[in-house]
Amino acid sequence: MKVYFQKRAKGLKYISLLGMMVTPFFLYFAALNNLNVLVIILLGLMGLFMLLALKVG
Amino acid sequence: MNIPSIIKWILAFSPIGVVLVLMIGYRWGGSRAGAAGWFTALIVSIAIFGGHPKLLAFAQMKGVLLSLYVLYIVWMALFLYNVVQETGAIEVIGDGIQRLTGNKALQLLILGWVFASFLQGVAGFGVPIAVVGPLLMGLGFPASLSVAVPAIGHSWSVSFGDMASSFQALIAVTGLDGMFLAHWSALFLGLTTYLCGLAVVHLYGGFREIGRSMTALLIIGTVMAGTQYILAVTGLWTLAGFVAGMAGIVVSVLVTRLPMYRRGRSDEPFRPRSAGNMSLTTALSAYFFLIVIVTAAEIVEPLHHFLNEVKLSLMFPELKTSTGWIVSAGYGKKISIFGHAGALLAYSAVLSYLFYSTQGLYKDGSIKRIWQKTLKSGVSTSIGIVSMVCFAMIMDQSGMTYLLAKGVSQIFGKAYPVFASAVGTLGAFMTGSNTNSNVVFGMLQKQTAELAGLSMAVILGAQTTGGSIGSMLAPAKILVGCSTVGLSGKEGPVLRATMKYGVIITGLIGLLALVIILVGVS
Repeated sequence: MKVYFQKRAKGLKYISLLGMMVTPFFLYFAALNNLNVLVIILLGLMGLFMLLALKVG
Repeated sequence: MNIPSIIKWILAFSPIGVVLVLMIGYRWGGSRAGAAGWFTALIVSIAIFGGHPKLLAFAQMKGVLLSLYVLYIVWMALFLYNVVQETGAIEVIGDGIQRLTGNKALQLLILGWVFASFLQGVAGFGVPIAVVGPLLMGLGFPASLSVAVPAIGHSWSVSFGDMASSFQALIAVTGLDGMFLAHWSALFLGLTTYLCGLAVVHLYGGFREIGRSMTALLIIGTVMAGTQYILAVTGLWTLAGFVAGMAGIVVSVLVTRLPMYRRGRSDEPFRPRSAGNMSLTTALSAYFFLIVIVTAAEIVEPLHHFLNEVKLSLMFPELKTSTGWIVSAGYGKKISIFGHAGALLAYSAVLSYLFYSTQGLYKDGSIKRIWQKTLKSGVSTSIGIVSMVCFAMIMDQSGMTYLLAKGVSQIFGKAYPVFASAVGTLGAFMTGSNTNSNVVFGMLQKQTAELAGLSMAVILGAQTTGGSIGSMLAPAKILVGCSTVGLSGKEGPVLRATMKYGVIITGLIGLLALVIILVGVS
Protein backbone atom coordinates (compact mmCIF):
# COMPACT_ATOMS: atom_id res chain seq x y z
CA MET A 1 0.00 0.00 0.00
CA LYS A 2 2.79 2.38 1.04
CA VAL A 3 4.71 1.60 -2.15
CA TYR A 4 1.58 2.20 -4.20
CA PHE A 5 1.07 5.66 -2.63
CA GLN A 6 4.73 6.54 -3.16
CA LYS A 7 4.64 5.43 -6.77
CA ARG A 8 1.39 7.22 -7.58
CA ALA A 9 1.91 10.27 -5.31
CA LYS A 10 1.99 12.81 -8.14
CA GLY A 11 -1.21 11.61 -9.79
CA LEU A 12 -2.97 11.18 -6.45
CA LYS A 13 -2.10 14.78 -5.53
CA TYR A 14 -3.85 16.03 -8.67
CA ILE A 15 -6.88 13.83 -7.89
CA SER A 16 -6.97 15.07 -4.30
CA LEU A 17 -6.83 18.74 -5.35
CA LEU A 18 -9.40 18.31 -8.10
CA GLY A 19 -11.73 16.44 -5.73
CA MET A 20 -11.42 19.11 -3.04
CA MET A 21 -12.21 21.85 -5.55
CA VAL A 22 -15.09 20.16 -7.39
CA THR A 23 -16.97 18.25 -4.64
CA PRO A 24 -18.12 21.43 -2.79
CA PHE A 25 -20.01 22.57 -5.93
CA PHE A 26 -22.05 19.34 -5.83
CA LEU A 27 -22.37 19.75 -2.06
CA TYR A 28 -23.76 23.25 -2.55
CA PHE A 29 -26.42 22.16 -5.01
CA ALA A 30 -27.33 19.08 -2.95
CA ALA A 31 -27.68 21.20 0.21
CA LEU A 32 -29.65 23.88 -1.63
CA ASN A 33 -32.13 21.23 -2.87
CA ASN A 34 -32.37 19.54 0.56
CA LEU A 35 -30.90 16.24 -0.73
CA ASN A 36 -29.71 15.29 2.75
CA VAL A 37 -28.45 11.78 1.96
CA LEU A 38 -26.44 13.07 -0.99
CA VAL A 39 -24.97 15.81 1.21
CA ILE A 40 -23.71 13.19 3.67
CA ILE A 41 -22.28 11.02 0.86
CA LEU A 42 -20.53 14.03 -0.68
CA LEU A 43 -19.14 15.13 2.70
CA GLY A 44 -17.74 11.61 3.02
CA LEU A 45 -16.19 12.00 -0.43
CA MET A 46 -14.68 15.33 0.61
CA GLY A 47 -13.22 13.56 3.64
CA LEU A 48 -11.77 10.92 1.34
CA PHE A 49 -9.96 13.58 -0.70
CA MET A 50 -8.65 15.14 2.51
CA LEU A 51 -7.45 11.72 3.62
CA LEU A 52 -5.65 11.38 0.30
CA ALA A 53 -4.02 14.77 0.89
CA LEU A 54 -2.99 13.62 4.36
CA LYS A 55 -1.35 10.58 2.76
CA VAL A 56 0.37 12.08 -0.30
CA GLY A 57 0.36 15.85 0.33
CA MET B 1 -24.52 18.14 27.23
CA ASN B 2 -23.24 21.11 29.26
CA ILE B 3 -19.55 21.55 28.54
CA PRO B 4 -17.51 23.99 30.66
CA SER B 5 -16.62 27.11 28.68
CA ILE B 6 -12.88 26.61 29.01
CA ILE B 7 -13.10 23.09 27.55
CA LYS B 8 -15.26 24.43 24.73
CA TRP B 9 -12.71 27.18 24.09
CA ILE B 10 -9.85 24.66 24.01
CA LEU B 11 -11.83 22.48 21.61
CA ALA B 12 -12.52 25.50 19.39
CA PHE B 13 -8.79 26.15 19.35
CA SER B 14 -7.92 22.51 18.62
CA PRO B 15 -7.88 22.70 14.76
CA ILE B 16 -5.43 25.62 14.88
CA GLY B 17 -3.46 23.83 17.59
CA VAL B 18 -3.24 20.67 15.49
CA VAL B 19 -1.93 22.62 12.46
CA LEU B 20 0.60 24.50 14.59
CA VAL B 21 1.90 21.38 16.30
CA LEU B 22 2.16 19.42 13.06
CA MET B 23 3.81 22.22 11.05
CA ILE B 24 6.13 23.62 13.70
CA GLY B 25 6.68 20.64 15.96
CA TYR B 26 6.67 17.79 13.46
CA ARG B 27 7.71 19.80 10.37
CA TRP B 28 4.76 18.59 8.31
CA GLY B 29 4.00 20.37 5.06
CA GLY B 30 0.98 22.66 4.84
CA SER B 31 -1.02 20.30 2.63
CA ARG B 32 -0.88 17.43 5.14
CA ALA B 33 -1.30 19.63 8.23
CA GLY B 34 -4.24 21.44 6.58
CA ALA B 35 -6.01 18.13 5.97
CA ALA B 36 -5.44 17.12 9.61
CA GLY B 37 -6.83 20.49 10.72
CA TRP B 38 -9.86 19.95 8.48
CA PHE B 39 -10.68 16.61 10.14
CA THR B 40 -10.25 18.14 13.61
CA ALA B 41 -12.51 21.10 12.76
CA LEU B 42 -15.13 18.80 11.23
CA ILE B 43 -15.26 16.48 14.26
CA VAL B 44 -15.32 19.32 16.82
CA SER B 45 -17.96 21.21 14.82
CA ILE B 46 -20.31 18.20 14.65
CA ALA B 47 -19.69 16.91 18.19
CA ILE B 48 -19.57 20.16 20.15
CA PHE B 49 -20.73 23.16 18.12
CA GLY B 50 -23.85 21.72 16.53
CA GLY B 51 -22.56 21.69 12.97
CA HIS B 52 -24.92 19.74 10.73
CA PRO B 53 -24.32 18.37 7.19
CA LYS B 54 -26.07 21.25 5.44
CA LEU B 55 -24.06 23.89 7.31
CA LEU B 56 -20.85 21.99 6.62
CA ALA B 57 -21.75 21.69 2.93
CA PHE B 58 -22.20 25.45 2.58
CA ALA B 59 -19.03 26.05 4.61
CA GLN B 60 -17.09 23.95 2.11
CA MET B 61 -18.50 25.88 -0.84
CA LYS B 62 -17.64 29.19 0.83
CA GLY B 63 -14.17 27.78 1.46
CA VAL B 64 -13.70 26.83 -2.18
CA LEU B 65 -14.83 30.27 -3.38
CA LEU B 66 -12.31 31.86 -1.02
CA SER B 67 -9.66 29.38 -2.16
CA LEU B 68 -10.35 30.13 -5.82
CA TYR B 69 -9.93 33.82 -5.05
CA VAL B 70 -6.51 33.06 -3.61
CA LEU B 71 -5.43 30.34 -6.04
CA TYR B 72 -6.17 32.55 -9.04
CA ILE B 73 -3.31 34.78 -7.85
CA VAL B 74 -1.07 31.89 -6.78
CA TRP B 75 -1.22 30.11 -10.14
CA MET B 76 -0.86 33.27 -12.19
CA ALA B 77 2.05 34.52 -10.04
CA LEU B 78 3.78 31.18 -10.60
CA PHE B 79 3.03 31.43 -14.31
CA LEU B 80 4.48 34.95 -14.52
CA TYR B 81 7.52 33.90 -12.55
CA ASN B 82 8.21 30.93 -14.84
CA VAL B 83 7.71 33.09 -17.95
CA VAL B 84 10.44 35.41 -16.59
CA GLN B 85 12.64 32.66 -15.17
CA GLU B 86 12.73 30.72 -18.45
CA THR B 87 14.54 33.64 -20.13
CA GLY B 88 17.24 33.83 -17.43
CA ALA B 89 15.99 37.30 -16.44
CA ILE B 90 15.90 36.46 -12.71
CA GLU B 91 19.70 36.04 -12.73
CA VAL B 92 20.07 39.36 -14.58
CA ILE B 93 17.89 41.16 -11.97
CA GLY B 94 19.90 39.56 -9.18
CA ASP B 95 23.12 40.77 -10.78
CA GLY B 96 21.63 44.28 -11.16
CA ILE B 97 20.81 44.58 -7.46
CA GLN B 98 24.17 43.12 -6.49
CA ARG B 99 25.77 45.85 -8.61
CA LEU B 100 23.56 48.53 -6.98
CA THR B 101 24.98 47.65 -3.59
CA GLY B 102 27.33 44.97 -2.39
CA ASN B 103 25.81 45.18 1.07
CA LYS B 104 23.85 41.96 1.59
CA ALA B 105 21.64 43.43 4.34
CA LEU B 106 20.70 46.35 2.09
CA GLN B 107 19.96 43.95 -0.76
CA LEU B 108 17.61 42.10 1.58
CA LEU B 109 15.97 45.34 2.70
CA ILE B 110 15.47 46.64 -0.84
CA LEU B 111 13.99 43.41 -2.16
CA GLY B 112 12.39 41.84 0.90
CA TRP B 113 11.09 44.96 2.66
CA VAL B 114 10.67 47.69 0.03
CA PHE B 115 10.04 45.87 -3.27
CA ALA B 116 7.83 43.24 -1.57
CA SER B 117 5.76 46.03 0.02
CA PHE B 118 5.42 47.74 -3.34
CA LEU B 119 4.17 44.47 -4.84
CA GLN B 120 1.68 44.18 -1.99
CA GLY B 121 0.49 47.64 -2.91
CA VAL B 122 -0.17 46.68 -6.50
CA ALA B 123 -1.16 43.04 -6.32
CA GLY B 124 -1.85 41.42 -2.97
CA PHE B 125 -2.22 37.92 -1.68
CA GLY B 126 0.99 35.93 -1.89
CA VAL B 127 2.44 37.84 -4.86
CA PRO B 128 5.20 39.64 -2.90
CA ILE B 129 6.48 36.36 -1.45
CA ALA B 130 6.07 34.44 -4.71
CA VAL B 131 7.97 37.07 -6.71
CA VAL B 132 10.66 38.16 -4.23
CA GLY B 133 11.48 34.70 -2.82
CA PRO B 134 13.09 33.43 -6.04
CA LEU B 135 14.84 36.79 -6.61
CA LEU B 136 16.55 36.54 -3.20
CA MET B 137 17.45 32.95 -3.85
CA GLY B 138 19.00 34.08 -7.12
CA LEU B 139 21.18 36.45 -5.09
CA GLY B 140 22.53 33.52 -3.13
CA PHE B 141 20.44 33.71 0.05
CA PRO B 142 19.30 30.40 1.59
CA ALA B 143 15.87 29.19 0.44
CA SER B 144 14.15 29.43 3.84
CA LEU B 145 15.50 32.97 4.40
CA SER B 146 14.37 33.92 0.89
CA VAL B 147 10.77 33.08 1.81
CA ALA B 148 10.80 34.34 5.42
CA VAL B 149 12.23 37.77 4.53
CA PRO B 150 9.52 38.94 2.08
CA ALA B 151 6.86 37.29 4.28
CA ILE B 152 7.99 39.49 7.20
CA GLY B 153 9.02 42.47 5.09
CA HIS B 154 5.74 43.07 3.26
CA SER B 155 3.35 42.46 6.12
CA TRP B 156 3.18 46.11 7.30
CA SER B 157 1.70 47.10 3.93
CA VAL B 158 -1.13 44.56 3.76
CA SER B 159 -3.92 46.65 5.33
CA PHE B 160 -3.46 49.62 2.99
CA GLY B 161 -2.01 47.57 0.14
CA ASP B 162 -3.98 46.04 -2.73
CA MET B 163 -5.99 49.26 -2.96
CA ALA B 164 -6.66 49.11 0.81
CA SER B 165 -9.08 46.21 0.36
CA SER B 166 -8.55 45.04 3.97
CA PHE B 167 -9.11 48.51 5.39
CA GLN B 168 -12.20 48.91 3.21
CA ALA B 169 -13.50 45.61 4.60
CA LEU B 170 -13.05 46.98 8.13
CA ILE B 171 -15.00 50.11 7.22
CA ALA B 172 -17.75 48.01 5.61
CA VAL B 173 -18.14 45.52 8.44
CA THR B 174 -18.08 48.06 11.30
CA GLY B 175 -20.06 50.76 9.53
CA LEU B 176 -17.61 53.38 10.86
CA ASP B 177 -16.16 56.28 8.89
CA GLY B 178 -12.80 55.60 7.27
CA MET B 179 -11.44 58.95 8.43
CA PHE B 180 -12.27 57.94 12.02
CA LEU B 181 -10.29 54.71 11.67
CA ALA B 182 -7.40 55.92 9.47
CA HIS B 183 -5.32 57.81 12.08
CA TRP B 184 -4.65 54.99 14.56
CA SER B 185 -4.53 52.31 11.86
CA ALA B 186 -1.88 54.24 9.91
CA LEU B 187 0.03 55.02 13.09
CA PHE B 188 0.18 51.38 14.24
CA LEU B 189 1.05 50.24 10.73
CA GLY B 190 3.71 52.95 10.53
CA LEU B 191 5.41 51.56 13.64
CA THR B 192 5.06 48.09 12.13
CA THR B 193 6.94 49.35 9.05
CA TYR B 194 10.08 49.93 11.12
CA LEU B 195 9.62 46.72 13.10
CA CYS B 196 9.33 44.64 9.91
CA GLY B 197 12.51 46.22 8.54
CA LEU B 198 14.31 45.53 11.82
CA ALA B 199 13.07 41.94 11.79
CA VAL B 200 14.33 41.40 8.22
CA VAL B 201 17.84 42.59 9.12
CA HIS B 202 17.84 40.73 12.45
CA LEU B 203 16.82 37.49 10.75
CA TYR B 204 19.79 37.85 8.44
CA GLY B 205 22.55 39.07 10.73
CA GLY B 206 21.29 39.59 14.29
CA PHE B 207 21.68 42.80 16.32
CA ARG B 208 25.13 43.54 14.89
CA GLU B 209 23.67 43.86 11.41
CA ILE B 210 20.84 46.07 12.74
CA GLY B 211 23.45 48.57 13.94
CA ARG B 212 25.06 48.69 10.51
CA SER B 213 21.74 49.05 8.68
CA MET B 214 20.12 51.54 11.07
CA THR B 215 20.56 54.58 8.79
CA ALA B 216 18.90 52.80 5.86
CA LEU B 217 16.15 51.46 8.12
CA LEU B 218 15.35 54.90 9.52
CA ILE B 219 15.42 56.76 6.20
CA ILE B 220 13.46 54.22 4.16
CA GLY B 221 11.09 53.38 7.03
CA THR B 222 10.27 57.05 7.68
CA VAL B 223 9.56 57.71 4.01
CA MET B 224 7.30 54.64 3.62
CA ALA B 225 5.46 55.01 6.95
CA GLY B 226 5.13 58.78 6.51
CA THR B 227 3.77 58.52 2.96
CA GLN B 228 1.27 55.88 4.04
CA TYR B 229 0.13 57.96 7.05
CA ILE B 230 -0.32 61.20 5.08
CA LEU B 231 -2.32 59.50 2.32
CA ALA B 232 -4.46 57.54 4.80
CA VAL B 233 -5.43 60.49 7.00
CA THR B 234 -6.22 62.65 3.97
CA GLY B 235 -8.76 60.09 2.78
CA LEU B 236 -6.60 58.60 0.01
CA TRP B 237 -6.18 55.26 1.78
CA THR B 238 -6.75 53.27 -1.43
CA LEU B 239 -3.40 54.59 -2.69
CA ALA B 240 -1.59 54.61 0.68
CA GLY B 241 0.16 51.21 0.45
CA PHE B 242 0.94 51.44 -3.25
CA VAL B 243 2.45 54.96 -3.18
CA ALA B 244 4.33 54.21 0.06
CA GLY B 245 6.01 51.24 -1.66
CA MET B 246 6.84 53.37 -4.69
CA ALA B 247 8.34 56.11 -2.51
CA GLY B 248 10.32 53.38 -0.73
CA ILE B 249 11.86 52.19 -4.00
CA VAL B 250 12.93 55.72 -4.99
CA VAL B 251 14.49 56.49 -1.60
CA SER B 252 16.20 53.06 -1.53
CA VAL B 253 18.12 53.88 -4.70
CA LEU B 254 19.25 57.14 -3.06
CA VAL B 255 20.25 55.29 0.13
CA THR B 256 22.54 52.99 -1.86
CA ARG B 257 24.40 56.17 -2.91
CA LEU B 258 25.26 57.04 0.71
CA PRO B 259 29.01 56.66 1.35
CA MET B 260 28.54 54.00 4.03
CA TYR B 261 26.56 51.78 1.66
CA ARG B 262 28.43 52.65 -1.55
CA ARG B 263 31.49 51.04 -0.07
CA GLY B 264 29.44 47.97 0.68
CA ARG B 265 30.71 45.26 2.91
CA SER B 266 31.09 42.62 0.30
CA ASP B 267 34.67 41.49 0.03
CA GLU B 268 33.66 38.92 -2.54
CA PRO B 269 34.44 39.76 -6.17
CA PHE B 270 31.33 40.33 -8.27
CA ARG B 271 30.33 37.07 -9.94
CA PRO B 272 27.57 37.51 -12.49
CA ARG B 273 25.14 34.60 -12.64
CA SER B 274 23.56 35.60 -15.95
CA ALA B 275 25.09 34.07 -19.04
CA GLY B 276 23.64 36.17 -21.89
CA ASN B 277 23.82 39.88 -22.61
CA MET B 278 20.29 40.80 -21.57
CA SER B 279 19.94 44.33 -20.19
CA LEU B 280 18.46 44.95 -16.74
CA THR B 281 15.61 46.91 -18.34
CA THR B 282 14.70 43.96 -20.57
CA ALA B 283 14.92 41.58 -17.63
CA LEU B 284 12.66 43.77 -15.51
CA SER B 285 10.17 44.45 -18.30
CA ALA B 286 7.74 41.76 -17.06
CA TYR B 287 7.47 43.62 -13.74
CA PHE B 288 7.12 46.96 -15.53
CA PHE B 289 4.21 45.44 -17.47
CA LEU B 290 2.75 44.23 -14.18
CA ILE B 291 3.02 47.69 -12.60
CA VAL B 292 1.49 49.43 -15.63
CA ILE B 293 -1.33 46.91 -15.99
CA VAL B 294 -2.24 46.84 -12.29
CA THR B 295 -1.98 50.61 -11.92
CA ALA B 296 -4.17 51.18 -14.98
CA ALA B 297 -6.69 48.56 -13.88
CA GLU B 298 -7.01 50.05 -10.41
CA ILE B 299 -6.72 53.76 -11.08
CA VAL B 300 -8.34 54.30 -14.51
CA GLU B 301 -11.98 54.19 -13.45
CA PRO B 302 -13.62 53.20 -16.82
CA LEU B 303 -11.12 50.36 -17.26
CA HIS B 304 -11.58 49.27 -13.62
CA HIS B 305 -15.35 49.25 -14.11
CA PHE B 306 -15.09 47.35 -17.42
CA LEU B 307 -12.78 44.65 -16.03
CA ASN B 308 -14.90 44.13 -12.93
CA GLU B 309 -18.23 43.70 -14.69
CA VAL B 310 -18.21 39.88 -14.66
CA LYS B 311 -18.14 38.44 -11.15
CA LEU B 312 -18.53 34.86 -9.98
CA SER B 313 -20.29 34.21 -6.69
CA LEU B 314 -23.01 32.12 -5.06
CA MET B 315 -25.85 33.02 -2.73
CA PHE B 316 -26.00 31.27 0.66
CA PRO B 317 -29.15 30.99 2.81
CA GLU B 318 -29.35 31.76 6.53
CA LEU B 319 -28.41 28.76 8.67
CA LYS B 320 -28.47 27.89 12.35
CA THR B 321 -26.38 25.32 14.20
CA SER B 322 -28.15 23.05 16.68
CA THR B 323 -26.49 25.09 19.45
CA GLY B 324 -28.11 28.30 18.18
CA TRP B 325 -25.26 30.04 16.31
CA ILE B 326 -26.74 31.88 13.34
CA VAL B 327 -24.95 32.28 10.01
CA SER B 328 -26.60 35.11 8.10
CA ALA B 329 -27.59 34.81 4.46
CA GLY B 330 -25.44 36.48 1.84
CA TYR B 331 -23.08 36.05 -1.06
CA GLY B 332 -19.85 34.10 -0.80
CA LYS B 333 -16.53 35.60 -1.88
CA LYS B 334 -17.01 37.42 -5.19
CA ILE B 335 -14.41 36.72 -7.86
CA SER B 336 -14.01 39.23 -10.65
CA ILE B 337 -12.99 37.02 -13.57
CA PHE B 338 -11.22 39.75 -15.60
CA GLY B 339 -10.36 42.36 -12.97
CA HIS B 340 -9.00 40.06 -10.23
CA ALA B 341 -5.32 40.41 -9.30
CA GLY B 342 -4.81 36.92 -10.79
CA ALA B 343 -6.22 38.07 -14.13
CA LEU B 344 -3.93 41.11 -14.09
CA LEU B 345 -0.98 38.81 -13.43
CA ALA B 346 -2.11 36.63 -16.36
CA TYR B 347 -2.25 39.64 -18.72
CA SER B 348 1.26 40.62 -17.56
CA ALA B 349 2.53 37.06 -18.09
CA VAL B 350 1.11 36.80 -21.63
CA LEU B 351 2.41 40.24 -22.57
CA SER B 352 5.82 39.42 -21.08
CA TYR B 353 5.96 36.12 -22.96
CA LEU B 354 5.21 37.89 -26.25
CA PHE B 355 7.80 40.58 -25.49
CA TYR B 356 10.55 38.12 -24.52
CA SER B 357 9.70 35.99 -27.60
CA THR B 358 10.23 38.97 -29.90
CA GLN B 359 13.62 39.44 -28.22
CA GLY B 360 14.49 35.79 -29.03
CA LEU B 361 15.02 34.91 -25.36
CA TYR B 362 13.23 31.55 -25.39
CA LYS B 363 14.62 28.20 -26.46
CA ASP B 364 12.54 25.47 -28.13
CA GLY B 365 9.88 23.88 -25.93
CA SER B 366 9.71 26.84 -23.55
CA ILE B 367 5.90 26.83 -23.28
CA LYS B 368 5.92 23.18 -22.22
CA ARG B 369 8.63 23.81 -19.61
CA ILE B 370 6.81 26.89 -18.23
CA TRP B 371 3.57 24.91 -17.93
CA GLN B 372 5.28 21.91 -16.28
CA LYS B 373 7.15 24.05 -13.75
CA THR B 374 3.99 26.00 -12.89
CA LEU B 375 2.00 22.80 -12.40
CA LYS B 376 4.74 21.15 -10.33
CA SER B 377 5.06 24.10 -7.95
CA GLY B 378 1.36 24.83 -7.66
CA VAL B 379 -0.28 21.53 -6.74
CA SER B 380 0.99 20.99 -3.16
CA THR B 381 0.48 24.66 -2.37
CA SER B 382 -3.07 24.54 -3.68
CA ILE B 383 -3.95 21.45 -1.62
CA GLY B 384 -2.65 23.21 1.50
CA ILE B 385 -4.58 26.39 0.78
CA VAL B 386 -7.88 24.62 0.00
CA SER B 387 -7.72 22.40 3.08
CA MET B 388 -6.81 25.28 5.40
CA VAL B 389 -9.39 27.70 4.07
CA CYS B 390 -12.04 24.96 4.22
CA PHE B 391 -11.28 24.18 7.88
CA ALA B 392 -11.21 27.90 8.71
CA MET B 393 -14.66 28.17 7.13
CA ILE B 394 -15.98 25.25 9.20
CA MET B 395 -14.71 27.05 12.32
CA ASP B 396 -16.20 30.36 11.25
CA GLN B 397 -19.61 28.95 10.28
CA SER B 398 -19.88 26.85 13.46
CA GLY B 399 -19.14 29.80 15.75
CA MET B 400 -15.79 28.39 16.87
CA THR B 401 -13.81 31.43 15.69
CA TYR B 402 -16.23 33.79 17.45
CA LEU B 403 -15.93 31.82 20.67
CA LEU B 404 -12.13 31.99 20.52
CA ALA B 405 -12.12 35.79 20.22
CA LYS B 406 -14.93 36.26 22.75
CA GLY B 407 -13.12 34.12 25.31
CA VAL B 408 -9.98 36.22 24.99
CA SER B 409 -11.88 39.50 25.30
CA GLN B 410 -13.90 38.34 28.34
CA ILE B 411 -10.90 37.08 30.23
CA PHE B 412 -8.79 40.17 29.75
CA GLY B 413 -11.39 42.95 30.21
CA LYS B 414 -9.67 46.36 30.53
CA ALA B 415 -6.37 44.81 29.54
CA TYR B 416 -8.04 43.75 26.30
CA PRO B 417 -6.17 46.25 24.07
CA VAL B 418 -3.05 44.10 24.56
CA PHE B 419 -4.89 41.29 22.82
CA ALA B 420 -6.77 43.29 20.20
CA SER B 421 -3.91 42.96 17.74
CA ALA B 422 -3.52 39.26 18.62
CA VAL B 423 -7.15 38.61 17.63
CA GLY B 424 -6.48 40.25 14.26
CA THR B 425 -3.32 38.18 13.85
CA LEU B 426 -5.21 34.99 14.71
CA GLY B 427 -7.81 35.71 12.03
CA ALA B 428 -5.19 36.35 9.36
CA PHE B 429 -3.20 33.31 10.43
CA MET B 430 -6.20 31.08 9.95
CA THR B 431 -7.56 32.46 6.71
CA GLY B 432 -4.36 33.82 5.19
CA SER B 433 -6.05 37.16 4.72
CA ASN B 434 -6.14 40.50 6.53
CA THR B 435 -9.47 41.16 4.80
CA ASN B 436 -11.04 38.00 6.18
CA SER B 437 -9.64 38.73 9.62
CA ASN B 438 -11.27 42.17 9.55
CA VAL B 439 -14.53 40.68 8.28
CA VAL B 440 -14.62 37.95 10.94
CA PHE B 441 -13.40 39.95 13.93
CA GLY B 442 -14.11 43.60 13.03
CA MET B 443 -17.60 43.70 14.50
CA LEU B 444 -16.58 41.65 17.54
CA GLN B 445 -13.71 44.05 18.29
CA LYS B 446 -16.00 47.06 17.90
CA GLN B 447 -18.59 45.57 20.28
CA THR B 448 -15.93 44.57 22.82
CA ALA B 449 -14.50 48.10 22.74
CA GLU B 450 -17.98 49.58 23.23
CA LEU B 451 -18.79 47.24 26.16
CA ALA B 452 -15.45 47.81 27.87
CA GLY B 453 -15.55 51.58 27.27
CA LEU B 454 -12.38 51.51 25.17
CA SER B 455 -11.55 53.65 22.13
CA MET B 456 -13.01 51.91 19.06
CA ALA B 457 -10.53 53.60 16.73
CA VAL B 458 -7.55 52.30 18.73
CA ILE B 459 -8.96 48.77 19.08
CA LEU B 460 -9.88 48.54 15.40
CA GLY B 461 -6.53 50.05 14.42
CA ALA B 462 -4.85 47.29 16.43
CA GLN B 463 -7.18 44.73 14.79
CA THR B 464 -6.26 45.65 11.22
CA THR B 465 -2.57 45.97 12.15
CA GLY B 466 -2.70 42.52 13.75
CA GLY B 467 -4.38 41.19 10.60
CA SER B 468 -1.64 42.76 8.53
CA ILE B 469 1.09 41.21 10.69
CA GLY B 470 -0.75 37.89 10.55
CA SER B 471 0.11 37.73 6.85
CA MET B 472 3.67 36.77 7.75
CA LEU B 473 2.38 33.85 9.84
CA ALA B 474 -0.36 32.60 7.55
CA PRO B 475 0.59 29.06 6.44
CA ALA B 476 -1.34 29.67 3.21
CA LYS B 477 1.07 32.47 2.28
CA ILE B 478 4.16 30.61 3.46
CA LEU B 479 3.08 27.73 1.22
CA VAL B 480 3.00 30.07 -1.77
CA GLY B 481 6.52 31.31 -1.12
CA CYS B 482 7.94 27.86 -0.43
CA SER B 483 6.52 26.50 -3.67
CA THR B 484 8.43 29.12 -5.70
CA VAL B 485 11.83 28.30 -4.18
CA GLY B 486 11.51 24.53 -4.19
CA LEU B 487 10.66 24.18 -0.49
CA SER B 488 7.26 22.54 -0.96
CA GLY B 489 6.60 20.23 1.96
CA LYS B 490 9.30 21.95 4.06
CA GLU B 491 7.36 24.97 5.26
CA GLY B 492 7.90 24.30 8.99
CA PRO B 493 11.30 26.06 9.44
CA VAL B 494 10.07 29.14 7.52
CA LEU B 495 6.95 29.35 9.67
CA ARG B 496 9.05 29.01 12.80
CA ALA B 497 11.17 32.00 11.74
CA THR B 498 8.22 34.24 10.86
CA MET B 499 6.31 33.14 13.98
CA LYS B 500 9.00 34.54 16.28
CA TYR B 501 8.90 38.03 14.76
CA GLY B 502 5.14 37.99 14.20
CA VAL B 503 4.41 37.27 17.85
CA ILE B 504 6.86 39.96 19.05
CA ILE B 505 5.51 42.66 16.69
CA THR B 506 1.89 41.75 17.50
CA GLY B 507 2.70 41.94 21.22
CA LEU B 508 4.37 45.35 20.85
CA ILE B 509 1.39 46.77 18.93
CA GLY B 510 -0.93 45.39 21.61
CA LEU B 511 1.16 47.00 24.37
CA LEU B 512 1.17 50.31 22.50
CA ALA B 513 -2.63 50.14 22.17
CA LEU B 514 -2.91 49.57 25.94
CA VAL B 515 -0.57 52.45 26.75
CA ILE B 516 -2.48 54.78 24.41
CA ILE B 517 -5.78 53.89 26.11
CA LEU B 518 -4.35 54.08 29.64
CA VAL B 519 -2.69 57.44 28.99
CA GLY B 520 -5.91 58.65 27.41
CA VAL B 521 -4.46 60.16 24.24
CA SER B 522 -7.01 58.28 22.14
